[in-house]
Amino acid sequence: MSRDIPRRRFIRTGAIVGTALVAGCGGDGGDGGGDGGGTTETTASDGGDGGDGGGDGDDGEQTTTESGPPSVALSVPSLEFTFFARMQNAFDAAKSEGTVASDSTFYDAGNSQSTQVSDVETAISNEVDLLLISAITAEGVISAIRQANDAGIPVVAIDRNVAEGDTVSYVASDNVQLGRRSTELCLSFMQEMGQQDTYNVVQLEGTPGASVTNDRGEGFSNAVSENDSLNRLASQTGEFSTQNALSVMEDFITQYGDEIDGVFCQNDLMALGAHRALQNANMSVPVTGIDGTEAWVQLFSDNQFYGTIAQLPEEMVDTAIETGKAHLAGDDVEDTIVIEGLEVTQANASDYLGQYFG
Amino acid sequence: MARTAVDFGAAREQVTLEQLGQYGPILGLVGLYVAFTVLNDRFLTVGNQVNVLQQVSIIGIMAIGVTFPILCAEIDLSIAQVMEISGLTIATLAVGARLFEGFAIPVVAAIVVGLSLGGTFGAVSGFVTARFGVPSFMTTLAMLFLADGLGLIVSGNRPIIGLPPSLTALGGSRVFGFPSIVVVFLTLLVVSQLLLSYTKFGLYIYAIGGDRQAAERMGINVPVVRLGTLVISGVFAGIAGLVTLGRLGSAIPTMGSGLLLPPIAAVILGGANLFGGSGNMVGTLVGVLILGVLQNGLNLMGVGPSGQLVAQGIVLMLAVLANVVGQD
Repeated sequence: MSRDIPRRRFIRTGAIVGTALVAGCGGDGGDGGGDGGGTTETTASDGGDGGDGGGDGDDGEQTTTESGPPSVALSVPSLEFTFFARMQNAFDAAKSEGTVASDSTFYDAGNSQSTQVSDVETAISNEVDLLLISAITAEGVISAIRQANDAGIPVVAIDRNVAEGDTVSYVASDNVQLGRRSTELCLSFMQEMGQQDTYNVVQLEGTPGASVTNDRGEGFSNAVSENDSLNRLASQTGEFSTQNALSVMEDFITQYGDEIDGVFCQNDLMALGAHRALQNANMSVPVTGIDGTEAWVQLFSDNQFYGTIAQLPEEMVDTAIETGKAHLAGDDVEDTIVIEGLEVTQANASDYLGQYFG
Repeated sequence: MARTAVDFGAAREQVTLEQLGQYGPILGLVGLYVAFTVLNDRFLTVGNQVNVLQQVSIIGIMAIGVTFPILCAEIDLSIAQVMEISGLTIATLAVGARLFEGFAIPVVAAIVVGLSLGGTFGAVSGFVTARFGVPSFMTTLAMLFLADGLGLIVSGNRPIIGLPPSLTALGGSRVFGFPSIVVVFLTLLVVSQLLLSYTKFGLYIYAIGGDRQAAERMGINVPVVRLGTLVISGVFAGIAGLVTLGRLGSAIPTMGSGLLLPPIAAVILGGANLFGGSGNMVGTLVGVLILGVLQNGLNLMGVGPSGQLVAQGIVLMLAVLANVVGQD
């Protein structure tokens, strides 16, 4: 028994320290996963106001002053996320179409910040003409961006901005706008379903504190305050997860029942959960999400009042390449270029799936 | 309606009170029931109570599974990821998508493969732990990463929809108007409690959890029992993954995220000793219900995300305090 005491003390200390450690790790992993599955990989994209697509006009024209297509490097956080896998496809397409040089390289950092930094360093020593980067964290790539600046290689940030260092432009979705448009899409569905004086909508929010959650929530609030007929019935976090959204939606149904006229979800995975809860309760109300996740869009064929605002990584890459080339050609480019999300409803669902997931 | 609702709630509490009057956690649960009944008139209805049971079932099944290693002074940190990969494997095999494109196999076979996979993860970490004396904390942590990565490979990290109805029936249908997922949960709970109470294996778990050296000297085959608890935990995580498919109606690659700590917390909340030797399944049920009822009640009251976290912190602290006071 006396020998037993140190053993227990050891186990106890070990377990406490370890649990704290894993609680930390687990938390992080969970967040990353929650975001990733939803292809809401816009986690660090903050701000992004202004320049409402105004840049598009300038971009297309002046690109042919260079002798050949520039060699480009694109670095993304992780191909685990569909969002970045789609970026890779778009990049490969640009290569085969000759928009960028055939020796252009795609770098997958496998979610490791140090890998991403060394990827960028490799690209710099390869003397690429243009660097496109979607940073894992805004701060982690600062040194690499500085090196690129020193080497005189222009940098375009995609989807996630960098904290310091000079970038030519920042190409991303505007989450405030996505939130507002999705809420308004929900409103238009509710109006189609039946005329009422006020429409009660519930919101399923993302992970509390994440910038995406705040921005999309702000868009929702803007839409509610701008439209007198829209009434916010309740709002609760579903942590960007289908399962949590399902439980929360069940509780909403218990509490409000038929008062609920529509559901706005801050990502499509939560819309899947809301759909499931409504289905179990034999209710049918409009549900809208954000992201354009394949599994959610596939449900549209059954329900004309389901919709989403899809993010378009392909367009982000194309625009980033165009912008970079315009800069190389000596043109002025916008500091921030907002990629408008695509509204997907039953009408264009099959086109959307065919084009991006076919 | 209201009458039956009250009867339903009261009856369940009575049974548990009789069996477990000596346990503190029950006080916390009763306190929560009283508080939410007063604060919200929809809380204590049959519909909502069934909802709560449905909402806690997945965490509950994982909690039952992880109770075994905890009683044996082990821990299983891989449950959330094992749940994920088992569910994803079953779904992809049954549909014949992603990694198994074109290799669709019958639903029953897919389920067997998925659950065996869960058991295999438990067996690997259990073997290394029992044979080489590596703490289960580390071996199951290794399994956590392994299972997480394999889950992404199997699913291609994209949700899988269009699951066959026979597959989703176990977690998503109703038996006489009662959700099947709850039936699965309660059945597993009863079976596990019987296993603990009336088999040698159950007795050995407590003996090893209480004092491993003493158990060894009494001639108990300690490695086998330690390995066994982790295999059970893995299989239960697999079952949780299976019923999740039914509950969600689809397989989501991230469906296990955030599901590591709640089951373990529920077990401890239910009065089990984190360092082995004491605890039981009914306690685990109470712990799971405390977590579920709290969330459900706060949702009904419309408490926002930040307020919920604050309330959860306070109530959990009070619950574990009641736990200690109740044991004295």
